[in-house]
Amino acid sequence: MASLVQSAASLTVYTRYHDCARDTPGWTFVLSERQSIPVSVSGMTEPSDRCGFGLAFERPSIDCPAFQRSQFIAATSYGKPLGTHIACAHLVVGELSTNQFYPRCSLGAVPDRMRWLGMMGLARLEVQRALSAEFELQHPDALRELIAAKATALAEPPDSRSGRLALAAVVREFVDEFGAFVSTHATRLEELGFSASDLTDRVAIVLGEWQRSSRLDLPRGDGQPPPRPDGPLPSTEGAQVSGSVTISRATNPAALTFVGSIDQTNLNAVDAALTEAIAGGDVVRIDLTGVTFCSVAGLRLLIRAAKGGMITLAGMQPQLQRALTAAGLASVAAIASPITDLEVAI
Amino acid sequence: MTSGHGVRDFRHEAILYEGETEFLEGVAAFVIDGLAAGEPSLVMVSAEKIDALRGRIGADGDGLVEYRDMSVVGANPARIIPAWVAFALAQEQRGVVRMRGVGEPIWPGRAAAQLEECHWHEALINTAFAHLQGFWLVCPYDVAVLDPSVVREARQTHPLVSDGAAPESLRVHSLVEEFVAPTFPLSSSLPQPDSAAVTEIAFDSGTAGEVRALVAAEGARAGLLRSRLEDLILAVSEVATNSIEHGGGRGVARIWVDDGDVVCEVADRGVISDPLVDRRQPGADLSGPRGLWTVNQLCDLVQVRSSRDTGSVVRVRVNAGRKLA
Repeated sequence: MASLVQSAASLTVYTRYHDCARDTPGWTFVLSERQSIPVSVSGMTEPSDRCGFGLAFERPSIDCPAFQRSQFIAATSYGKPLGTHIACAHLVVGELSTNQFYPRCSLGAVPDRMRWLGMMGLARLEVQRALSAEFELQHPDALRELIAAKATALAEPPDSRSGRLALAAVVREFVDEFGAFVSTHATRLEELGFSASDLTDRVAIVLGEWQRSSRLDLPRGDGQPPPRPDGPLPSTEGAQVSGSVTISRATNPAALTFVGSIDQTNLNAVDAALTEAIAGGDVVRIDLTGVTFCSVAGLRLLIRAAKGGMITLAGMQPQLQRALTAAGLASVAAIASPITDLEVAI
Repeated sequence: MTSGHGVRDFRHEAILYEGETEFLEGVAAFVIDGLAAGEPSLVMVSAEKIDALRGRIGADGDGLVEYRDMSVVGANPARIIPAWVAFALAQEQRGVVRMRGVGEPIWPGRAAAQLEECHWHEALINTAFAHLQGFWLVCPYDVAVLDPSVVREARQTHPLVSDGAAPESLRVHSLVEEFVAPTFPLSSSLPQPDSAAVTEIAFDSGTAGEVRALVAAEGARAGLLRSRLEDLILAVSEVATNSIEHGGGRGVARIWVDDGDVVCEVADRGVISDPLVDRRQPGADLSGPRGLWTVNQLCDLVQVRSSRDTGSVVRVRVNAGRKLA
């Protein structure tokens, strides 16, 4: 659900160091067996969903647009913490048919990562990243303290309680800090679709369960992959990928779905798709739910097409609606009757 | 004066008043005088002043007086001229030939960059309405609270300057014939930020997406809300697109934080010659440019500078909201 939960409160302690980092000079990260998703890859073919940065997350800038910073504490399989490290929230263990492991991107290959990025929207991702970074900056030792307290509690003899009491205090303090942080940033979080109080409640529940469990590693959210777009990722089957936009066509009823960013690199493709759709003779529903960016020229194309009366524009995100108004195109749109049933998806 | 203002051409006048009483008396008399002659007025001043004026003039002066909060309309001073244009066009369509306006774009607390754009806006009014007939626009300046340098600028940007707001005490300081429109500050240069705080990226048609990524990352770090960030990304993207299409195919984008604002700037080798380029309302026919117009609607401040020697710079600002928090 929330990447903030993932990066602030539910970071995984990966324990199977030897499984994944065997060919690494020194250990940079280790992955847990729990995350393992076997992928059958024949022979020596490089898996397309291999993470290009699997071993170099400490670099100041990661050159992957889908990178979601995730802090974790590495530990030996005997529960000894090995320090705090940075990974990507999309990183999971991939397994080759040769029983070898490799760092795998849960989003898939590069085009899949780009589609995910397009649906999430740059602004939303970056605000999430900024909030996570700010929390980390304000509470740099929070994770280490949680893990250290848990390790002490796990190591103490059954007839002692001091370690468990100390752990409970550390968890309480973390939940308080987390709660204070999210309520300070409630407005920013709300725009990302998170309620500050829900987030705090959730973190309290997850950490409470962890506190009573026999695990050292922190739970990773609700087991879901990191932040998902508002809707499901559309199928790429039969879809046309043009730069940062994916165009899918459907018939009965006629529909055209755009996902991603409409900008000057793909205006021609968008224009061609619209022209072709209109030429079919049916009224075509244009689904814009997955469009997180559209240039003014792109909006102009959409409105021009809509004015013809053969398309309806559906699922415009608030960002596109504001852009339409700012560009002085909202009043033009109102003239074209078919878009009066303009559907809003938030 | 009861027979109407008799202004045949466009009359752009600064009124230097001192304190609220003088403002209310002068402006109310000016508007009421217009009402008596059947001349409609648009009054764009602060919400507090609107309340006070309503008490003297009446809520809407029998439908002839319209009030708009200047702190909203003029938050970005480039949105003021379009508001006057819309008013004048609406009157023209109703067959009205004489109309009045009161606009106070400058108040204490305007930041330096905003002030600069306000003066530029006042100067541009002379260009924008040069051919509009029968419009008497009065711009009140409170000499009791404004910096003397602001008042000096107002004397430069207004063909007519009067001391005291009451119409009967109008003392015209400079006559239209003597007025020389201020030189086009489009070619002036903008103050430079501390380079250590600036993130810079060069772009062309193949890498314009990286400009969006840069703005997204830096704007989020500066604390912008998602919606404000989305607006800023679109604004900068539109300016960068202009560079690619009209500014030599490439440009340099810079971003930094200044005084609670996220500031983005795009520089290219193109030359902008139309000083009103960002204030012309695009038509409903979908043709014509609307990029810079859109940028002005999305951002809190837009500064356009251009010269043949240095090329063009478009600098936009969006408040990160920390001042309001």
